[in-house]
Amino acid sequence: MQLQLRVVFQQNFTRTVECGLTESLLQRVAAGDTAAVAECVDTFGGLVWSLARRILNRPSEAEDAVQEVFIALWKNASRFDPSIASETTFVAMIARRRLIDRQRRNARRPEGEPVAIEDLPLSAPEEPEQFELQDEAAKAVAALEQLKPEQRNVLRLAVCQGWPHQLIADRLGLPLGTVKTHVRRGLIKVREELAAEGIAPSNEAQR
Amino acid sequence: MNSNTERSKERMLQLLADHATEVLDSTSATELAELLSLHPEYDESYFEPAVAAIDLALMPPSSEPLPEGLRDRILLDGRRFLETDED
Repeated sequence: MQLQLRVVFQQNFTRTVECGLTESLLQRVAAGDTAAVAECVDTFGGLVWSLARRILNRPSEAEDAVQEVFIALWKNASRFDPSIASETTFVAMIARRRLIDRQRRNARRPEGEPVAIEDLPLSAPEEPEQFELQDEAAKAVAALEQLKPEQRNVLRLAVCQGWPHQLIADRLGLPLGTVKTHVRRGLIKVREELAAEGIAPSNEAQR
Repeated sequence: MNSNTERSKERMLQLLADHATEVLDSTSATELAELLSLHPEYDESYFEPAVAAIDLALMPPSSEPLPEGLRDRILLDGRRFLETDED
């Protein structure tokens, strides 16, 4: 049943194979399908580039990072499990981890003025098909709306701006422990929301 | 669940949240690995789908296309990877 739903959900990103099951782009990459590599770049290139530009400030550094992300994606394609996350979320997970590692490795602090909290949207993008993000993004928005404004703001800065917790504490004038608690509780809330819809495995399922 | 277990689980969740949004220092990474061994139902990517979902939800509606030349370099990397993988 879940697989059938995924077929509809990921219809632009999967193909039907003879046995009636579908292979995702990443599963095709893992199987050595050269055409899937190009499709993957065309499908997720904009997403990865957007994340890189947001987390890393210099375009040249972002370009190197995007290349690094895709190499990591090829290497990890076989780990993709549609029962845990959609392909888009999986790609974003791999990209974020690499980009944050790189940001910290450079020991760089965010440049320029912080983005005003009110400038950050709290709604799913207007063109959801662009990144196939209907399920997870909608649930994340629903969970974020249940948080207190201060918790939500901290989570946005930590996740979307990639700011270290200490920097958030300094900029918002909050104790570091409070920032960490906001991040933890906010992530628990979003994760619970995703698990309730069967998007992320629940703790019970993981046991 | 006793209070020690509760405390260790809460500490582990904090370190998992830190790991999902920052790079842990070596002391914290070691502590997290020890706590995960006590709670095998969790793994270090526990919060990462949630973080990615938040990022996707808050991402601006339009995205910039890949810069000229970058796509070709990525495709070259991909071809090289598949060739190496076949060997």
